[in-house]
Amino acid sequence: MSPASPRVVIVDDHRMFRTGVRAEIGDHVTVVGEAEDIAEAVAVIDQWSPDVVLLDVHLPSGTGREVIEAVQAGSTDTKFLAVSVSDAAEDVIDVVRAGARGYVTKSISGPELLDAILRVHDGDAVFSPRLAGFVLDAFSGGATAAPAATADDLDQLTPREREVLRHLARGYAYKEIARQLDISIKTVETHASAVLRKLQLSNRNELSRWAAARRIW
Amino acid sequence: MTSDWRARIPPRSNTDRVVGGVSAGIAQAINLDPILVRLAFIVLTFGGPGIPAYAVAWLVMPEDPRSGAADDDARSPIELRRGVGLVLIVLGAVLGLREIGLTPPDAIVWPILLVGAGVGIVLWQVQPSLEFSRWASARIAAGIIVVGLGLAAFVAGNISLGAVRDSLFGTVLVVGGLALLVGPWMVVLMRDRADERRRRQQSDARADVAAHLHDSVLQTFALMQRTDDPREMSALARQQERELRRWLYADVVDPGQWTLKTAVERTTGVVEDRHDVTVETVVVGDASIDTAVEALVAATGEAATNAAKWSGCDSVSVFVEVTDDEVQSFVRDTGVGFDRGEIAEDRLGVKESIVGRMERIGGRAEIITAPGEGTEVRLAVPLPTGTVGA
Repeated sequence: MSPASPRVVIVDDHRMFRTGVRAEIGDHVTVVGEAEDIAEAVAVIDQWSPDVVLLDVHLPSGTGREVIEAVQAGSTDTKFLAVSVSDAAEDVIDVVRAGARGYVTKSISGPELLDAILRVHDGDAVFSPRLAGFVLDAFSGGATAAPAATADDLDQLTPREREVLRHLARGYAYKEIARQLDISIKTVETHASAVLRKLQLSNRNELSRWAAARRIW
Repeated sequence: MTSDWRARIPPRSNTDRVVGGVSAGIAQAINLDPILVRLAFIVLTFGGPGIPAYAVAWLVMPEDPRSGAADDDARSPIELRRGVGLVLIVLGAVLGLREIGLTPPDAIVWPILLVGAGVGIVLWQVQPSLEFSRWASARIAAGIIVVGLGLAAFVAGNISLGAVRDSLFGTVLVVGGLALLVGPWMVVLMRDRADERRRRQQSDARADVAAHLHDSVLQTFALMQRTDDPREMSALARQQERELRRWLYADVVDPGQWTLKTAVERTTGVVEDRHDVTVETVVVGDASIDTAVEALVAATGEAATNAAKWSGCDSVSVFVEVTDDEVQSFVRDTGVGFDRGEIAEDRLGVKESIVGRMERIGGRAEIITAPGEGTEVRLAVPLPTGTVGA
């Protein structure tokens, strides 16, 4: 365990999941704390200022969004990686919009989860194929509905960003995408971060309407 | 039994009502100004069966389901208007009676009105749970009026040594009035019972789901304990997970209403079950099913099956996207790949089920692979008409 290994807090209401994750990643990162609800999570994160928080999207008393908002009010450098079994796109998008740097499903393998944690720690965005699909879905309605000339830059994905997302949804890793599109890995990362920023900063009506429509569905 | 015919009857208005919202409800249904309907009722009251007609309409018309909290805030002025309306109706009825020759002396009218009002207030106190304030006051008043009319007619008949006909008429009115007074409680009781039955059915349905879930989850756990094969264990867990998801996220779609999305998810689910792999499935946009889309879904399943069988990895990615003019599908694995030149003629799986199928329906199929490089199958068909939504 090198001093550089990121310090991690696991927030999940299922003890089995926390124990399992701890066992899988514990050799490579320092798990400094665990929490099973919002209040506990905020307290633990305040106490330890971890580098990365593995954050369950659904918690007994609310959603991961509330944890992120409570913690970021005190502004730390802590980064959040959303983890969930949930397929509900609007919940996932909601947590990412609140500030999570990525989203993975709980069925992710140990090494992949570790990789995702390290990447989030490095400031990268982590898009599981599913999140990439959700984002494409969320931004697709507006592309045809809003005239491109008037739309805010934040409200639209560039063709290149779309291409990167499509490859992510197809299961490509950053390295493979770089080779496919003949760009550097750094550029792929930049595109992914840009998509994340747009997702978080856009207050586009289409995005909320999309979420609302999903909810009714 | 109640729902089918009641559904076609316009509801009483919650927001616009003087007495019970009947007029506004009717007005809305036939697209008239409520004032006109109210006038019609008033004319009917003096010239015919206005009050009974109103009472019957009131009974028959369901409550507007769109009642909201805002209704409560607007209650008091409505209460006031309703009170004024009631007084006017009662006065009108009395005057009307005098006009048509029945002249009940004040000694009878006022006691009856007072007793009626007293009874109403008492009942109001006793039965608050029956939404009394909301609507029953109008009917109470109507009932009291009719009882009063009946008694008046009866008395008038007796005083004038009237015929049996008048007495009968009076009796009918009294009975009718009592029915109006008691009827609402009966109706409310019946409605409550219907409500209760519906609630019980709902909770039964929920219990069914819960029982089904618990049963299948327990079965899965039992099976998992009895197997030593980790692959089988994860296959069981995956299957259970998918089933739970389907229940929880209401993905229980009637096959007749399948769309591209449900069809793809169903197909990749079958591949997961049969071949013991994870198929990470992402569908962006949706489309209705036509022959081409059906072929695309089938070819996607075939490609995923091939990947599961031959790639050597335990995870396959499927990405389906509806673009402006076509439906594209990508099936990818990071496994061993193969040399396209060496595909034997007998690898019919690829040649027939995928490439051939796509070409026959005017689509495209492309296979990108090399030994050690994984495999990606790219498919596309033209977008069907009547897309569900992008």
